[in-house]
Amino acid sequence: MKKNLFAILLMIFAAVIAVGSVTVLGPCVHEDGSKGPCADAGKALLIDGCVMAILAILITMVNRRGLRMALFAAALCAAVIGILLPGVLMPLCKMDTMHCRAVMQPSMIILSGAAAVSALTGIITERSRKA
Amino acid sequence: MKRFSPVFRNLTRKPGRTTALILLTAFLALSLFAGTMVVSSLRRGLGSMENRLGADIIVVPAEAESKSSLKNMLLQGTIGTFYMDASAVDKVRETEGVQKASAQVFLSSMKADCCSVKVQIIGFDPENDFVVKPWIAESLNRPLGDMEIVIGNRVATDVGEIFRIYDQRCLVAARLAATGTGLDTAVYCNMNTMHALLEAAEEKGISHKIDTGNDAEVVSAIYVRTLPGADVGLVNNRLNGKIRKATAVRTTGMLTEVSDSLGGVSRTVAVLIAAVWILALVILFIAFAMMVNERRRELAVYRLVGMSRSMLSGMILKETALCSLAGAVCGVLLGALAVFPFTTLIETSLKLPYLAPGTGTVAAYAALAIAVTVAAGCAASLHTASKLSRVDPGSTLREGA
Repeated sequence: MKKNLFAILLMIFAAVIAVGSVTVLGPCVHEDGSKGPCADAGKALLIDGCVMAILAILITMVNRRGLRMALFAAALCAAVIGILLPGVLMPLCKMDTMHCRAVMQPSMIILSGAAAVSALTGIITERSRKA
Repeated sequence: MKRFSPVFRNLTRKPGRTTALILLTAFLALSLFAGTMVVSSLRRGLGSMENRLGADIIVVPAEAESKSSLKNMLLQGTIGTFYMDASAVDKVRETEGVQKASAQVFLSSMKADCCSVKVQIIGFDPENDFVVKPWIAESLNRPLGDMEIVIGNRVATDVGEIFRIYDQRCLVAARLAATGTGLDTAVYCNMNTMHALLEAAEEKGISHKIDTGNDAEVVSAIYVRTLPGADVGLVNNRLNGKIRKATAVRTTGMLTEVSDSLGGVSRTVAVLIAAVWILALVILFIAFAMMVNERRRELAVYRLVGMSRSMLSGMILKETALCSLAGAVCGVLLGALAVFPFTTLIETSLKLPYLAPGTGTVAAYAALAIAVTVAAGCAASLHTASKLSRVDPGSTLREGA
C-alpha cells in the first residue's frame, strides 16, 4: 500500500478527470442540445484521464523500479498535457462565463496539476527506493 | 534550525498527531481566507458597479418589467432587448432638473455567431454619452470609429481581431477593465455601428421595432444625470409622469437592493466563519488537553535532564506555532485554489457584482489569515503549555513505575 501510495493518488485524480469530463466538469451543452467549440477539449480530457488511470493501474502491477519510473514519467507527461489541453492545446468557448471556462478549465488544471505532483513525487520516491 | 531540533523531533515522532494539528489549523486558515476573499470581492464589485453606473436615473421602456430586467442585465449579463421611441430622449432633456441625458441601444448577437453564446451589444451616442465614454477612455485614447467595437473584459476575443455580428465585420478596438458585473460580457459600439447592426438584424428576421410598428428611431435606455442640488426623487417622479410607456428607475434604489443582498451574503459568510472557528478552536483545545496526559512522562524526563519550566513551555509553544504555520500556509493555498480559479462560477452563483481584489490586498489578507491562525493555535495551547511545565518530574515518573 505504502509503495503504491502515489500510484493510487494518481489513479484517483485520473478517475476524477475522466468521469468529470463527461459529467459536472465537462464541456458546455446548450439548451437546444448543440455542442460548443469546447466539446473536443472535453473528449480529449476523457482520453487523457483514461490514459493516466491505465498508467496508474500498470504502476501498481509492476515491481521493477526502472519500469515504474518510466510509467510515472509517462503519467507526468499525460498530466502536463491535461493542464494544457483546455484553452491552450484545444479551443474553448469565447466567453468567460461559459461552463467550459468557468468550471471545466480551472477544475481540470487543478486536477491535472495534482496528478502531475503525484507522478513527480512517485518518480522521486522510486529513485530513492532501494532496488 | 538547531534551536528547533527537539521540536522537529517531537513533531516527526508523532506524525498522526502532527498531521491532525496541521489539518485542523489548515481548516481554520482556509475558512478565514476564502471567506474574507469572497466578502471583499463582493464589496469591490459593488463599488465598481457604483462607479460604472455613472447616472442618477435610468429611463427604460415599461416592457423592461420596471427595473428587474435592467438589474439582471447589469449584474448577471442577462441579454436585455427592449426598445422605446427615441423621441423620449428629447422629452427627458427638457425635463426640469435634468443636466445630461444619454441614450443607449441594446441588441443581442446571434448565438454561435462568434462565441457560441448570445452577446449583449450596447450602442451609445459618443456626443452626449457620460456613462460609457469615461470607462472606454481608460483603454482607448481616441474616438471609437464606425464598425469598431470595444469588448467587455470577459469576452475572449483579442484586440485587433474581427468580431462578426449578424455577418457584419467589426474590428475590436480595445478591451475594457473588469467591473465584476454583467457589463463585462457586453460589446460596445457607437450609434452608427449600432444602426448598421440593427439593419443587419432586420435582414436576418430579428425585429427591433416598437409596438407602433413604425420605423422611428429606437433607444433602449436613457441615462440621466440630474443638476447639482436637484432632488433626484422629484426628477424621477417628473420623468415617470412625462414619458409614456417608460419607467424611470433611481440607480441608488438599485444599488441599495444589491447592497442589501451583499449584506445578507456577508452575514452568512461571517456566521459560517465564526461557526468553523468556534468548532475548530474547541477541537484544538480538547486535543491539547488530551496531550497533557499523553506527554506527562515525556516532559518529566525533560525536566530531569535539566530543562527549565519556561524552556518546556517554549518548546510546546514552538511545536504548536510550527504546526499552525504549516497548516495556515496550506489552508491559505487551498483557499486560493478554491476561490481564484472559480471567480466566474462564484459570481454567477451569487448573482452579485464580484471583483477580486488586487495582488497587494490578496497578499495582505493571506498574511493576516496566517498570523491570526498561528496566534489562535498558540493561544489554544497556552493553557496546556503552562500545565505541562508545572509537572513534578519525580512524582510523575513514580506514578508510572
